[in-house]
Parts: sequence; C-alpha cells; structure tokens
Amino acid sequence: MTLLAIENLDVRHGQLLAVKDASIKVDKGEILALVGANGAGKSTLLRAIAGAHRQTSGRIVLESNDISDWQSFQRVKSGMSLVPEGRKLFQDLSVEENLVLGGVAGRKGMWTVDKIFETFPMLVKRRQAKAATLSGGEQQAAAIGRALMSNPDILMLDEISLGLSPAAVDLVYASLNNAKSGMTIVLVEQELSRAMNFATRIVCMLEGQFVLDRATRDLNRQEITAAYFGKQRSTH
Amino acid sequence: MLSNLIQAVFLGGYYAMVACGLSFMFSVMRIINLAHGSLAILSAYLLYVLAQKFNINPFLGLLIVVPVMATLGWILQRYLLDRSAKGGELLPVLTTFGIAIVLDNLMFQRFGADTRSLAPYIGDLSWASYALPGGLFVGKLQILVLMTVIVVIGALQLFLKKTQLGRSIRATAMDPDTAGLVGIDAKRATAAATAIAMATVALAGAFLGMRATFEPYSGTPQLLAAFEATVIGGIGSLWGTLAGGIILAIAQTLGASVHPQGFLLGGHLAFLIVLFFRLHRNRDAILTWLRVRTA
Repeated sequence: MTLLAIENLDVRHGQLLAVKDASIKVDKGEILALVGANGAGKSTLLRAIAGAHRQTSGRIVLESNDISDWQSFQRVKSGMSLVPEGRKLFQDLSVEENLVLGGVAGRKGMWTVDKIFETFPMLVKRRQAKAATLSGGEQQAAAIGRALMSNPDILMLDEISLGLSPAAVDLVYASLNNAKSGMTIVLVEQELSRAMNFATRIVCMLEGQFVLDRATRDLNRQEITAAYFGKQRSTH
Repeated sequence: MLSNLIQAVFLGGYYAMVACGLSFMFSVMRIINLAHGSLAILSAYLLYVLAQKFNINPFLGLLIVVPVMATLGWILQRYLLDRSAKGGELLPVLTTFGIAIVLDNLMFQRFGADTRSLAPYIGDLSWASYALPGGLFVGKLQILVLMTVIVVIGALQLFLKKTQLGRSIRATAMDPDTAGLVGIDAKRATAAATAIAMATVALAGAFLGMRATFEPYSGTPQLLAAFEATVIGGIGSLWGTLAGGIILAIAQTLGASVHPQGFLLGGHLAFLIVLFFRLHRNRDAILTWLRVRTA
C-alpha cells in the first residue's frame, strides 16, 4: 500500500533546480535509503517532503491527502517527521524539553518520553542537560527521539552519520533498529555499506533525478557506484 | 539618602513593569516594539474612559482592558508583524514605529492635549503610604507595582519553562524552521507571545495612569525607559530586566542628587556605560557577525 507519493516534483534553490521532475512511491513498512553525491538533491527532496522547502511544481501525497500546500507543522500532525541534517536540536532547551516538544503535534502512539529514554539509554543521564552540551552521537539520538515523539507513520532521517565517530554511528543505528518496528523510513545516508545493511530499497539520485531504484537484495555495490557517479563517468 | 534609595528601587520596579513586555517580545521574536510606550498609553486611556464614562474602577477595568490588549497584540502579530517580517528583520521594527505614530496621533485627535490621570478613580491609593521606622515612607501604590512586577515576571518564567505553549514559544525563538518540522505552529506561537506581552502592557499602562498623569504623546519617554531597562538588564532575561529597571532608577536618583536636572542624564549615562561595556566585551563576536553579514 502506498503511503507517500511524490509526483513530478520540481524544487529550486534560487536559480538552481535541485530536484527535477521527481516521481516516486513509498510503500508502508519500506525502509528506503536515498544515496547520491553531494548536491544531488537528496536533502532538498526530504526538506520539500517535510514542508520546510516549498516545491515549485508537482504534488506530494501522504496516504490520500494532497499535502503539497501544507505547512510543515501540519504535515507533522498528519504523520510525517523529519530528523533534519545537522540535528537542529533546540540548543538552550534540555534534552527532556526537546523530547516533550516533539510530542507537540499530539499524535497518540507507542512513543512517550519514557519510551525514548528506554530506547536510547545513552540519553538517560543527560535528561536535564542542555542540548548544546551533548556529544554528537547523543545529539543525534535526541534528534531522532524528538522526531519519534510525534509517533510518525513515516520517519525521514537526513544524514544521521554526518560528523559522528564510527562508534557513535553504530550506536545510533543499533537504537534505530530497535525503534523501527513497522515504521516506514526514508533516510539519506552517505555511507553505502550502512545504507545497504539498513534499507530494504535503495534509490540513487544524480543531479536532481532518480537514476536507480531497486530492492537492496537485487543490488550490488558496483551497480550503485555506477549510478552514483553517473553513466557517462563510468564508461571512461 | 536611604529614603532616596528605597524610592529608586520602587521606581525601578515600575520601569521593569513597563519594560517586561518589551523585553519578552524582543527575546522571543527579536522585534523591538517601538509602539510599546504608545500601547501602554492606549491602555491607560481605555481605563480612563471606562472609569469616567462607566464608573468602572481601574482595577476592575483591567479585567476588560487586559484581554482587549492581548487580542490587539494577537491581531498585530498575525496581520502586521508576521507579514512585514517577510521583508527582512528591519521591517517589523519600522512597522511598529509607524504604529506608534498612528496611535499617538489618533489618541491626540480623540482625547486632545489635556493631561489625564487614573489617580482620582482609585481612592487614596496613589498618595497613601506606610510609615516605616526611621522616618521612612513607602507609597502603597509603589509596593503594589513592585509586587505585581515580581509576580508577572515569575509567572512568565514559569509559563515559558513549564507549559507546552511556553516551550513552543522558546523553540520558535531559537529556530522557527526547525520548530515547524517538530510540529509547532510558529505563527500561533509568536501571536500568543505578542498577546502575552500586550497583556503586561495593559498592566503597565494602568500603573502609569495611577501613579502620574499622561497625555497622548507620553508613550515615547515610557519606551525609552523600558528600552534602557531592558538593555541594562541584558536581553533575554526577564529577571535581568527587573534588575535593569532598578539600576536605571538608582542611576537617575544619583544623577538628581548631583544636579537637580541630572535625573534623566544619570539614567542615560548608566545605559551608555552598560552598552559600551557589553560592546567591548563582545567585540570579537560582533566583528565576526558583521563580517558574515557583509560578506
């Protein structure tokens, strides 16, 4: 069953057309990894889906609602949540306050503040600490926890390994594995092996377009690498 | 001297009462509301009309004027400031400047140049005082103002810390973009914050009218005192604003004891000293900020 459908989406960054005529469908329960070089349009696509960056044309449909013109907070209320690139915690608020704010949309579900601390045990002793004082890994965990607090149907994660030590990334993915039960996830991941381990489907973007879209089990590294750098480049 | 000092502390409480709405709005929305003083005068006139025409005691009148001003604040944010904010961060400030001019002149047109006061409608409260040992006298109204401002600031702090709307307001102030992604309606949060700020303005206007006289153009001096108290106390800190108000009043009192005309000058000097001290201490950060902005 299709949960999220993107239809002919164009997104601009000023003069630059960052996402070109992109169409894709995401089914319920899928874990989709978006890969591609820097500037391929992955983050812009996620931000457009979440409503933080308005598309120039095209439609975004969540379940049966056309949410193209909705503001970001309305999209959260209807079951969509983005962990933004760079984590973007509210720095002067405590971890707990950040989490409580994540529940502001008032969606009911399994995620509560206590459940988040159970899933991300490294946050427990930082409960009252200001977000600014957390380590990178802790901040990422808190940012994911904050997004989960809205009990989303679809969770989007933008570059969760960026700037973290490999050990911290392991920890974040381990917690994410505990958390993912039944949830639909779209994540942007630069590190190919992590993407292939975690996702059921890989979509590669190149210059604003989808150039590869297949189930992870039918793919090998070479195919993704070829798509990643573009066909012309790979024939050299 | 001791008597002067005590009076200065109470005057500082009054300044903080006027300033806390300005400080609140600035820390939450980065808008310096230049119509702040004029809106306080508007509240005073509303209370005056209620008292004169309908015989409503100004304290009871606040039950009407506080919600009216809060609603006005909501509308102001939603339909003027939010829209002008799209044109850059300077535009909302200019908008409030325009509002101040329009309000001042509308009030002049409606009420004329006569000075008014709410003092006649509150019995002996505006001049009654308690005698303290040592020949000191403290005005009852002054005590009420200081107590009110402490309660208001305490309540605002609790609200910001403990309620979901308060947290939403703080989060929106830090990062409106991310606030939206978390599910916060940023426009609603800022409108609510302005409504709260205007509710405190109604209180400030009431006390202004009770302790002294006012006329349509009295807003600007109020704004100036509020602004100085806010800056001295440090932006973003409401208790700091109370301290700032008291420091301002003490500086004015000291100024007046040096020279009869030194009252305002003493306050301005304190303001400038604090301002330059802050600029000097943060010069590296400011220079970096300027470089980033002009690059």
